[in-house]
Amino acid sequence: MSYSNFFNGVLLGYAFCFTPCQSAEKQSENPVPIKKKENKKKSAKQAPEAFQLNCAACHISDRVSVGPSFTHIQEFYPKQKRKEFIEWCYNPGKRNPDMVQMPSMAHVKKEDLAIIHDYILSVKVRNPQPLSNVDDYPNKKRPRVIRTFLPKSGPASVLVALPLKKKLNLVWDTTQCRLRYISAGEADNYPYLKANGNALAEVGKIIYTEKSLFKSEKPPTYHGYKMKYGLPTFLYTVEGVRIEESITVADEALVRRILSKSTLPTLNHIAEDSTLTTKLSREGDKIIIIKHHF
Amino acid sequence: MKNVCITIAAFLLSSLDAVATFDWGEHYTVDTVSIPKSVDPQVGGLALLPDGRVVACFHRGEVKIYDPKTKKWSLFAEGLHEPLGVHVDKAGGILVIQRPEITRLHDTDKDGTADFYEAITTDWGMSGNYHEFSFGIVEDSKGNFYVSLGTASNGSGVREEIRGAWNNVGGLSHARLLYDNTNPKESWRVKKAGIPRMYARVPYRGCILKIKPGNPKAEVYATGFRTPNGLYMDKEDRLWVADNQGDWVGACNLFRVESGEFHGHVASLLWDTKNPVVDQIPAEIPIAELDKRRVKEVCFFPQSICANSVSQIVPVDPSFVPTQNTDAMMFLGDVYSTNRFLGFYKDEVNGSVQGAACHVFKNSSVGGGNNRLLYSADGTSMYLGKTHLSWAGREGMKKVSFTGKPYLMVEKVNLTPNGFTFTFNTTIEKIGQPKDYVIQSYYLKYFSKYGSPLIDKQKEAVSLIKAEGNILTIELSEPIKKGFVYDMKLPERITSAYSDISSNHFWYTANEVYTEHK
Repeated sequence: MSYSNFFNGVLLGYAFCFTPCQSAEKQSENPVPIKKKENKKKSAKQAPEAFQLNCAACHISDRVSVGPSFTHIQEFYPKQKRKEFIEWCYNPGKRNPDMVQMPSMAHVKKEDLAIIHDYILSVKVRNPQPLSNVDDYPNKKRPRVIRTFLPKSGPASVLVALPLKKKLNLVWDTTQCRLRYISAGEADNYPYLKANGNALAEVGKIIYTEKSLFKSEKPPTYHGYKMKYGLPTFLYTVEGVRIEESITVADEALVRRILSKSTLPTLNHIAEDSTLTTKLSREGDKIIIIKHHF
Repeated sequence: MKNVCITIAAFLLSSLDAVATFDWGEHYTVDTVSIPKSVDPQVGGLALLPDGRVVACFHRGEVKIYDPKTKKWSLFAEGLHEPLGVHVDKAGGILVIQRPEITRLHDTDKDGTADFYEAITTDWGMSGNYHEFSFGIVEDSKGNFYVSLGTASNGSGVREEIRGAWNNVGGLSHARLLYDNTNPKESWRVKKAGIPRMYARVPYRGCILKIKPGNPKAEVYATGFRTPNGLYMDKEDRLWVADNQGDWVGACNLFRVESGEFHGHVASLLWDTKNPVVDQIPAEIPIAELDKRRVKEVCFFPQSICANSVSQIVPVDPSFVPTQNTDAMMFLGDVYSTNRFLGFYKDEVNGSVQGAACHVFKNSSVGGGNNRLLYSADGTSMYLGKTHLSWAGREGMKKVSFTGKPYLMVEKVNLTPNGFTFTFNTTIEKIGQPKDYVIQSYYLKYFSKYGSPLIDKQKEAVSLIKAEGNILTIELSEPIKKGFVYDMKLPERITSAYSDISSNHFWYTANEVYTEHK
């Protein structure tokens, strides 16, 4: 074989393989296999390009990410269910309410979906992780202060899990600058984390809700919170008055101290609930103390 | 068919002279930085304190400080809402961006933990959609902060309680996008029909915001971004951002941001300051009009073959590489590619800033999930902070350190009237023949679909190659096509006294070209 024919053959090999099998082109980038120093867990099989372009962002072999893992896909769609697999890809339904909706793969040819299906079925998953609720980093300590998406409150809210035997929690809304409610029971942020933000944290049972403490025409301004002994003091301005609202516990009661250096704005009537005894007292015009007893 | 192709290609290529391959492992060590087992080790931000310690923020809201001398971590703050950036300002103060705000963390009693979580600004909208991330923070020479806000995804809807006023331009009302996933009767699959892939219906989603020192009000600095995960302020106070492939974004890309301008992703046109969209769904504006208006990306990173999810941008520290001439270069992370990340070479043609991408650390053991990049205090090491969230990344941290052993690398990639020049850090040899250079060109379409195919892909014939000292010149037979990406594989056997070529595959985005071609 002459030299020029040989190189033409190389180019022909590239051209031949160009569009339908770009994985060949990738392999030919590094024709001498390179010893990889780590990552023995990785499958030696290269994912076809159709999978890499359309599926890899949301489907991993051994665990749930945006979408189910290969283990789950293998279970739902064995080889005999090729037709159903393709149909799902074109018209994805919804099996898990927490997961984001799979977009249609209408732009992917049937032949490519078949290649993708074959690839998924061929991967042997060594340590599949279950689709169920296992929080690898559980956090149940009290007190704890966490910002997350919470039920019945705005998207910029704070959960305070209080160090009380009754496991009371408080949800404070930084947009409205006020307590929204008190709940009782285990508070758990894992549903939010598991769903990548597409679900809300659990707060237990809401046992007390509160309207806005102060009468105000304009929206308040939130300044942040100080932390002491694991509990927050919220800082905000209402009607031009700078306020500090500290969250503390004493004698198995939640005690909120609301104070200002100037006269506090006019108070609204706050709700009182029969399951939670709430007592409001004032010390002059600059301090309000609210005690909640379960 | 495919197997036949692989066999032919492999056979033909293995028949060539043994092709040299470069091993990054001979020039860099890669160590794992252990993270305490109680922490979900997905890194959202990395920054350096004046004393050389590293501040890291993690997915579940912890901010921890790492002492590289003792290799110990301490908890500084916690409970933040998905912090995706930490910044140490000129005074040594620590700021974090979390979904709802920029927070300055004060340690007023100096006990090593934050006791005042100050809200610097909360001036943007939140709809409760899972995809609305907040990225940042970078600072210019005047102390202004810049952050970037991701758009919402039609993978899900929004909540009843939102922050900021809903913008229902074009009839996309709040009620239309409301979704309660605890309600078994609600099907988002049905509701989502007709909703654009990404949307920005509460203030400033998809925008870059500028926050002046001491001012809690944010200014819209630029619009037109989708999921702008990488922000960078260069030495000349110019802002750069990397965006992620998706609707309107043909492939992951890099912008040099133009203040006040629109950069391509339509959803945030509702918040544009120059010419906001007030009467229709932005996706329905004629593409020609949008194309004329937008600032073009300076570089594409073709999907999958070049990058998957481009993340943080950093300059190239001359202590980290075997050259002092690093002004034209940047490194970028890539969250969903494994054992590689990215280099970028800046060029300027007829006043247009554009350039070339390449892989760095390819087939090394840096791993995947590379979301945040941070140099150590002396610049000889780089920390890689990894994440996956619910996509295909990784987690944890690695420390990549330069051994000092020089290797052959490109310092500059420049377009010429007839092709390209590559400037290396030392004299090159064994540049091979024109036939050894595999060059193709294609372009990516700007439209509403998710990503763009590589259009009008064609091989480019190489008419001339020559090396003069450290400069390689490649001339193509055909004129360079304006708007095309030139995908160039240089032969791996190019070598030097230092080593064989380290990165040999380049993607140059030729937004502007020189007109004369010989």
